[in-house]
Amino acid sequence: MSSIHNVRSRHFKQDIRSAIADVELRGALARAQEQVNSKRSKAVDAIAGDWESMREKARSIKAWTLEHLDEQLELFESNATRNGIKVHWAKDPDSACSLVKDICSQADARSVIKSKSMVTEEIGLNAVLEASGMEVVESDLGEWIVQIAGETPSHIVAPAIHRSRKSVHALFEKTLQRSIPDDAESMTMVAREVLRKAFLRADVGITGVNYLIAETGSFLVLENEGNQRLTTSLPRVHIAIAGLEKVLPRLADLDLFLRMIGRSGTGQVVTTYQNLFSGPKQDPAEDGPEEMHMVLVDNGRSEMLASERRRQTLQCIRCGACLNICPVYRQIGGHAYGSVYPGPIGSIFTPPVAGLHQASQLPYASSLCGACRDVCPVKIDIPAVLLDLREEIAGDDAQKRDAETDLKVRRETPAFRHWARAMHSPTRYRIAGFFMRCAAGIASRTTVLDRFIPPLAAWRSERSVPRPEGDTFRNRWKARGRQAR
Amino acid sequence: MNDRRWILDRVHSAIADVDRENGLPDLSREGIDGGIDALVRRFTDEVEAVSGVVHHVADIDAAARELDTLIRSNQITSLAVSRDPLARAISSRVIGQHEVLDPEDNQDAIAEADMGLTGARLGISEHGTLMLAPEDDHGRLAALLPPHHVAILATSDLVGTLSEALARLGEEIPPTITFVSGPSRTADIEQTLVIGIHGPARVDIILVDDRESGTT
Repeated sequence: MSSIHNVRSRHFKQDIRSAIADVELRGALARAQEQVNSKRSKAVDAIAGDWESMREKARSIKAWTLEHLDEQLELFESNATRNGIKVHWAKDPDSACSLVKDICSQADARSVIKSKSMVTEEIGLNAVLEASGMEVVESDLGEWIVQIAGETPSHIVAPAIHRSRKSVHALFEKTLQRSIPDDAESMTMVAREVLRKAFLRADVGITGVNYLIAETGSFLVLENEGNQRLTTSLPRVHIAIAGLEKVLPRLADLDLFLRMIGRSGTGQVVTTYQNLFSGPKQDPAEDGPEEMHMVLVDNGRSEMLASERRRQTLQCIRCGACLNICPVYRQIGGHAYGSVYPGPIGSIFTPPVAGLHQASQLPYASSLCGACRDVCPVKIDIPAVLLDLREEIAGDDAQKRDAETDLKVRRETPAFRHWARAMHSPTRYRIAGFFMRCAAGIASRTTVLDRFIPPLAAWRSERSVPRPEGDTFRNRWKARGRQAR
Repeated sequence: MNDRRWILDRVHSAIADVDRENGLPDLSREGIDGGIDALVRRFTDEVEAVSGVVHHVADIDAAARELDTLIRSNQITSLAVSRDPLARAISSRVIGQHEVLDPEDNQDAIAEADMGLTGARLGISEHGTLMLAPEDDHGRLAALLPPHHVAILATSDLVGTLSEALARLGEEIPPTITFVSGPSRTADIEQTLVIGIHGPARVDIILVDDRESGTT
């Protein structure tokens, strides 16, 4: 069964309330969003003439690959195997975690070092490895911060974006039991020193994957800190974990994608490091891993692939631009979504993977403004997928939604049924319009009436009822027609 | 193996009805015009834009003098040198008080070195990128563990774009290739940029001019 580790999106409505009440969170989010969005705009504007055609090319390569995914995966597998990479397949989180656990056990691993990987968050890998007695250390600074805080990442690119410098400082002093200067540079240096020891004692290094290259059986992973280079240089065994959708057909495709992902994600022209792996070391005297494993994870992806409307979700390159631009994410941050994949992309990825009933509120966490679609480097039409999910969630099968959504659907369905009926003919529309204008006229003039009618009262508690002014559009249009004649 | 069949069958049936005719887009694009001079200029600018430094020198002797200056001005006491022949040739011309570590020295010693000296397979001008292939003696650890990385690169190894760099690889792809654009960085604490976290905090590139009609 596909699933997402520790998903709690059923509590979305409650979690929004606490997120909005969190002043530190909202300050941190506003600062971070403004900074990264202005860097992104600058980086994209610098190549503005090419950007749209690059997006179209990137979209078409991803779409092509998904339409050929069976061949491309088998091609990757055979080329990677020839390169000496051991390729494993996992249909769900249980299978993936036990595969990784077995590889670690066979390597007699006591200590595992990880570089940032969203798919390992998705499958809940750390908990499984820790339960079998291994030490697991996250080495990306943001990931390490959330790990020692006992939290999950709140952003797919910047895991600790929800925390202020002060709260990170307090966390470091408490965890390390020593006094540390409270500037970002000193704190970063302390992290370097603590984590360097973890790198040197690690038996296994685990990374995620940005791109699997079918043509050469290679894979590429991006980073800025150097933690991933260390993760793949010092331990004896390297295990990489990738969702099925990460494939690119050609090595040359990297030229396009690498010029887009840094700009989209952090506003960097390119990330500091881009590591291309094509097998374990060949000469025993060299540094680097003796064994290289690749775990390909399905976890609901093949099912998403089967839906023509949802398939585009798998084009995602996890840049995070849609989170950064989203007015909803800006207000509530990542944790409220209750999934390791928050924001617009999370709202279309989480429900099909975790099960619609687990995350039925998420597709409604959007005003459908389309900002996410406009920044997406691979042109995923996120609002269209949100609507497709809403359609299924609001359908006849109540098992596909949680109690909160069910209540909403039961309230809204009759209203929309009436609306549909009213829109059915011009006469009905005119009559319905007349009554609605009267009702709105009364409701806007009274402060008492609408407060006690249940559906209106809930709506009214946060808004005021608009007062209809002047003549209707239909009458004005008619009058205009007469004048023109 | 069970999961493999399960996944591939499902992937196959998911897209069985899809019309698979459309081809992949052509990604070829213009490189950087203007010959070596343009490549050097762009490379220098881009490396500086990501907080690295390029020292363009006329020959191996000048490269050794540049390295000597870097060692002295940064009070380097131990230098880890990779197997790269050009790096070794230049390092051997520098006589100083510093200890020289070889790749055969143990990992902990290299981790304690103040500076790592390596070669590089190629430089990519468009983004100020060094292409390191550790298995080609570019020093996996020497380029990574010490806080200061100095790379030696020949001007004839500059290319315009990543496409050109990948094309130069041909069929033989080394097990690991690292593309490096500047020193390591993070902004995970309140979006504040900090240069130098797990990887080197400083990257200096000594670009040795190997054109026959040299600029000297």
